[in-house]
Parts: sequence; structure tokens; C-alpha cells
Amino acid sequence: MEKDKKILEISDLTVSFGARRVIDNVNFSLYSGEVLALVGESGSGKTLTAFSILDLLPRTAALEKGKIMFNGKNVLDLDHEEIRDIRGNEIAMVFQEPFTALNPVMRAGDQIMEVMSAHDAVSRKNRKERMKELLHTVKLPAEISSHYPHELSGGMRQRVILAMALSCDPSVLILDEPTTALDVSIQKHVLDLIKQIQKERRLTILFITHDFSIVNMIADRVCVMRNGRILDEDGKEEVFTNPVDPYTRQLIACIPRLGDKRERLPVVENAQDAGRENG
Amino acid sequence: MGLTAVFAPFIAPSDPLEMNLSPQGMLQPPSLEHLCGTDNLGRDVFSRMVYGARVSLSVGFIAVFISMVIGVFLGGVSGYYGGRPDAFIMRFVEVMYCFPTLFLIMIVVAFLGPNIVNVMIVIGITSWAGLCRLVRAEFFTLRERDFVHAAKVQGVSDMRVIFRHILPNAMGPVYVSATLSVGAAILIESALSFLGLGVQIPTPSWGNILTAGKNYIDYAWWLTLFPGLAILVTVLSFNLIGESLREMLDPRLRERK
Amino acid sequence: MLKMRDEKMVEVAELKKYFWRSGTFFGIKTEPVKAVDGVSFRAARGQTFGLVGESGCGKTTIAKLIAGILRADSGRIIVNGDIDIVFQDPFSSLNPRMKVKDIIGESLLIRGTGGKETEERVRETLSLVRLGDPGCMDKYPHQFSGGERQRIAIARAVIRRPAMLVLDEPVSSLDVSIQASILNLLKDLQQELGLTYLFISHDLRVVEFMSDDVGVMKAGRIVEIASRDEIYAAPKAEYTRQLLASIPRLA
Repeated sequence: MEKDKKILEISDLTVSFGARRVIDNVNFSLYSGEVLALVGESGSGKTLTAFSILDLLPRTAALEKGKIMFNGKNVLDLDHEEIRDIRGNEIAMVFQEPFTALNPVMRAGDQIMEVMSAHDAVSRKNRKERMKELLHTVKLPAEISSHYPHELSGGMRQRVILAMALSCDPSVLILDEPTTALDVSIQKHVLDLIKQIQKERRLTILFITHDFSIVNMIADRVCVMRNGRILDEDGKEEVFTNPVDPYTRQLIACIPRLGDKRERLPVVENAQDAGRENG
Repeated sequence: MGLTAVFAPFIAPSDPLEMNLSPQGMLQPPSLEHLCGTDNLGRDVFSRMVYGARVSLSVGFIAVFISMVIGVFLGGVSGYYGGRPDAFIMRFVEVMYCFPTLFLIMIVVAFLGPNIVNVMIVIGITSWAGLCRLVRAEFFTLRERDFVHAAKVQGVSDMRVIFRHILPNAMGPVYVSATLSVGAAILIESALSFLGLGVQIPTPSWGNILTAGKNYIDYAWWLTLFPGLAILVTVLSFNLIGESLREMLDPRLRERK
Repeated sequence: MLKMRDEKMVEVAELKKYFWRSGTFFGIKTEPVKAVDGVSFRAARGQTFGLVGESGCGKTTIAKLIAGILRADSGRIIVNGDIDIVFQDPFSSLNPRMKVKDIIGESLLIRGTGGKETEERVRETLSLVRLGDPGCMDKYPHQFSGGERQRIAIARAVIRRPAMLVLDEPVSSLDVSIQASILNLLKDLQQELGLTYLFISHDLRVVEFMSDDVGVMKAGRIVEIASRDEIYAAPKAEYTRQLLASIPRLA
């Protein structure tokens, strides 16, 4: 097996909203061809960390320190043009809500082609061809291209978004809870599809989730986050069998599983209810 | 929000309404003694304006209050019960919308006799339609919320659900709309008074000061400028307060997961 | 076979609820949405009946029918006692303008219980749901976290000691760590108060943890109904098997 190359390296990343540190000295790297799962409960900072990679942090966020190295450059230092070049083209992102990520008045096929035209990655006459290829890759019939988002089911919408993300042939794909809003049976198909595409194209994937069983299904390595900090970073097996941080261990233990004969679930000490309404 | 500061001088205790009918007192330009000059009868325009402020503001508030009472009640019934009561009330609302309100008001006031109370009542009963629709929309949304279902499951009566549960949550946009309406009401009152259909002289209203002033615009500009400015600033302040209220309420209404 | 011990707490027979799209063109009736299309099941006193299915299967409609929020088009619902309900979303199930003590105590007040006694009972119920801090009573919902709000909703539901609770996805909006403590709480309350639960969820693992008997729903119908162990160890319906197979396993 070839030595894996570091594609993305985040060092000492610290971001705050006013007095509150939402990302606290985060360090981790992404290696070529792997699937890294970023796991944490709500409020752990996992989505914000992903946002910082693509410079999508809200204006109220203050970057205190840190570097994100991609292709030899610090992403946080790049100007608007350079970032735009990376977004979608080299690093693509799939967001959580399939319903709001699509333009309701544009047909599915047009939206996929629009991404291509935004990056001029594919010449105009080839776009339609490519769009059809992409639909095939995500296992959707070609007719889908003429449909509007509201005519499609949740699973189909998510696949269209996946096709959009793949359209410019990025090397890195960031997926933020892509299956949370989907039914369990659809979820399985979408996850299988993602795994397959990842293998075929040797994509590097940063997969954000709160669900450890999805992590088990799809990840090579795992980073566990809590309150903006990384508590555990290890291979999947290691994190499940012998996590360093007690929080990780308790978090995994408190999930009900199939065939579970326990009468009561173990609880997480100092479980922080991050469901607090902000402000 | 700092517009409330503009408010203060208008609510300041007013000077006695003195008339100085002496010939040399008439139509004096603004001076230290008479800040806004005097009018054609020698009365101090400034004090008339301050009194006029009381008139305008009270008409504004009371008229809007009346429209709120009607609008919220009908909107609530419409929104909560739906079905036939809703259909009936909505037809009524649509009829109200068809009428050019200013003319309607003018006709009614001319008919009933122009005085301040009539003006308040008439403005109130012709402008409730907008609030009604607003409240109805809020009720439609709120009626499906889980906490309303929960209350019903617990056996809470319809009346109590409407007044204790839904109404307090529906009032937000109503306050915004009401604040903006005060500005509109003041404008209507000024227009009526200007036309002689509202507050009658000698009681001052910004509108009727303008009436007096229109004959003297060429040389007694202060009779037109000051009341006009007063109306402008007051209506503007209400609009701005209304807008700020709306901004304040919005993020709180938007409850995120 | 359903584990039927003791008496029936609730029995549902051939329940149907259709929703017609509003507005028909030229009097031509459009096909109604058959949210619930002939559902029957029974739950025994003190037990938990789990109703599981994917989105749109009709399980939430059943919750509303049994709690009395919706009226069925046909069929029978027989309940042997009082029912109350706990909803999925802890943010919209509490009136944002009411204090916690009023939210919980309302059902007592409207039945004539005096102010002081109500306050006592509210305090007692709050400690039952492990929100014992006395400051809670005068606060508003937005001052609490999701899990705490759900406890408040549970307190509201149990204060009059109903015989049965309908729980519609009560932990689906909560983080996993909070979910565990709420599920434990529900089990404890069931034992302490002898409650019967109708536990509705899309999450098969949670349903397995909580239930004695389980019904699997699809498109408004129950496709399989059996005791919990039977359903999970030896599912008979194809759909049940598919559902179980698609759950990502945890090591």
C-alpha cells in the first residue's frame, strides 16, 4: 500500500463567537484516499470546523489562531478569488438539509450543470453529457434531470446534491450529516453509494456525523469532538474498542443497539444539553 | 430607537392656550417669545402646536386601539374556528378593503358631525381589516403547534386556549402593525382637520393650523412649515419604532433547533 | 403472539383516518391520503407498545387519534383511563410565554385545584422527572435545554397520574447522551407510576429498548405485530426484515 499523503492539515485552529470558543485548538489531518469521520453531539463544533476549511464561517466568528494547509497554502490566508477556486472544484461540500440546498425553481439537471459552469471546469458542449454521467454515477435515471426538487424524494434530492458536488471532480468531499434527514432504508442506500463512489474515485472524505453506527459503517479513522475540542483521534477500531477519553467511551456505551438486553442505558457524565436555544 | 427622544418635546406639558388678539400680535414671525410665530389671530403657534400634539397623539392611539380590539377579536375567531365563521368574517374583511377608507371616513364624519371623538371612532372602525388578517394568519399557524395540542389533550377549554395560549403568542406582529398604524391614523386626522372635517377651531390640531396657514403661505411661512414638520417627524418616528420592533421580534420568533 | 398479561389498557380496532386534499376540481373527488388504513392493536396495562415505521407511515397520526387530537373516520378506540401525550419537539411543545410551573400545573388548575396545592404537586412532579432545582418553576421554556424541556413536557403529562402516555418520538430530537437519560427516566416512571406507554418512533433500536410488544407500520397499515423479542429475533414480514437489515451496526 502506497504511503498516504497528507492532503489537508489543520493546526491549532481556534475560533470564537465573542467570548465563547467554539473551536478550541483543533489539530487533525486528512490523508489522501481515506474517510475521516468527525463525530460529536450538537454544539461540539464539528460543522463549524468543516465550514472553516472552506472559509464559510459567519462574519461574527473571530479566528483567533490556526492554520489550515491545503495544497501547500494556508486556506485561511487566501483571498476571495482563490477560495472560490477551491470551493466546489477541489473541495466540495454536501450540507445537511437536502430540501434547502436545492433551488426550488430550477430543474435538477440545470442545477448540476450550473455548478460546472460556475467553475468552467467542463466546456459547454460537454456539460450535458457529463451531467448524465453524474446522474448515472449516483444511480439516478437520466429523466431525473428534467424534474424539479419538490418532485423528488429526500433520497433522490440528496443524490442530486451529491452529483453536484462531484461535478467538478473534486479531490476532497466534505459531507455534513448527509443522511440525518433520511429514512433508515434510504440512508443505507445513500451510504453504500458514497462508499462505492469513494472507492472508485479514490476520494478523500471528511464525514461529519453524530451517529456512531454510521461511523462504524463508513469510516477509516475517527476524530471525536466535544465543546470545540478534539478528544480522540484514532483508527476506527481503536476508537471503538479502546478510546482514550472517558467521554468517548460513555458516548458509545449509551447508544441502544439491536439485540441489546440492557434494562437501563449507561449515562454520560456531565452530559451537556447542547440543545439550548441561542440568545 | 433614539427617536423616542424626538417624542419627548411633544408630550411636554403644554403652555396655556392663550390668544393674543392684539393687532400687533397677529402673524408674527418666529421669535424668542413666540418660537413658531403667531397665527392670524395672534395666537402663539408653538403652544397651539403642543396642544395639537395632544390631539394628534390621542387620536392616533385611541383609533388604533379601537381597530386593535375589533381586529384581534375577529381575527382570533376567524383563525381559531375556521370554517364558516372564517368565511363570513373574511367576506366582511374583503368588503372593508374595497372601500376607499379616506372617503368613507370623510363621509361618515361629515354625516355624524366633525369632532374629535367621532374622528377617533371612525378611523378605528375603518382600519381593523389589516390587523384582522394578521391575527388570523398568526392563529392559523399557532393553532397547529404542539403546545396547543398538548393543552387540548389536558382538557383545557377552547376559550382558555385562545386567550391564554394562542393570543399572547400572536400579539407580536400586531404590536408592530399597530405602531405603524398610529402614524397612518395621525395622517388621516391631520387630513380631516385640514379639510375642516376633523377637529374644529379654536381647538388646535396640526391639520387645522395648516388650514389657517394655507392662505398666508407667501409671507407667514411658519404657519405651514412647523405643523407640516411636526406631522412628518411624528409619523416618521412611529414608522421607525414600528420597524425596530419588527426587527427585535423577528429573531426571537425564529426558533431554531 | 402478543404478550398479553393483565387487562387491556387500550384497544384499537380497524382504525381509519383519511385526509382529503382541500379543493376538488369540478366536483371530481381526488384520492384521499390514507394516513391510517385499518389499524388494530392492543396494549396491556403497565406495558409498552412500540409503534415503529419510517416517515409517512401514519404513526404520528395514530398518536393524535389515540390522544384525541384528531377524530377517526371509522374504527374503535377503547381506552381504560386517562391519556396524556409527549411530543417530539421540546421547543414547540411548551408555550414560550408561560412559566414552567403554569405549564405543568395548568391541568390541575382548570379542574379546580387550589393554587397552593397545585404548586406543591408541580414541585413534586418536577423532582420526579429529576428537575428538582426549585428555581425551575418560575423560569420560561427558552431558559432550558432540549433535554430539560422534554422533562418538563413529561412532568406536564404525568402530573395527574394518567393511566397511559402516548409518546410520539420523544427522544428523536435529542442528542444521544441526553436520549439515554430520558429513556431511563421513562422506564423508571413506568415502574414508579404503573404507566402504560404507546411508544412511537422511527428508530428501531430505541423501540427495541423500550417495548414489550411491537407493531411495524407501513403506508397506514401494520405489517407485523408481535412481542418485542419475536419481532427482532425472528421477523416474519419482508418489510420488517428490510428495516432491520438497513440499520447500521455498532461494532
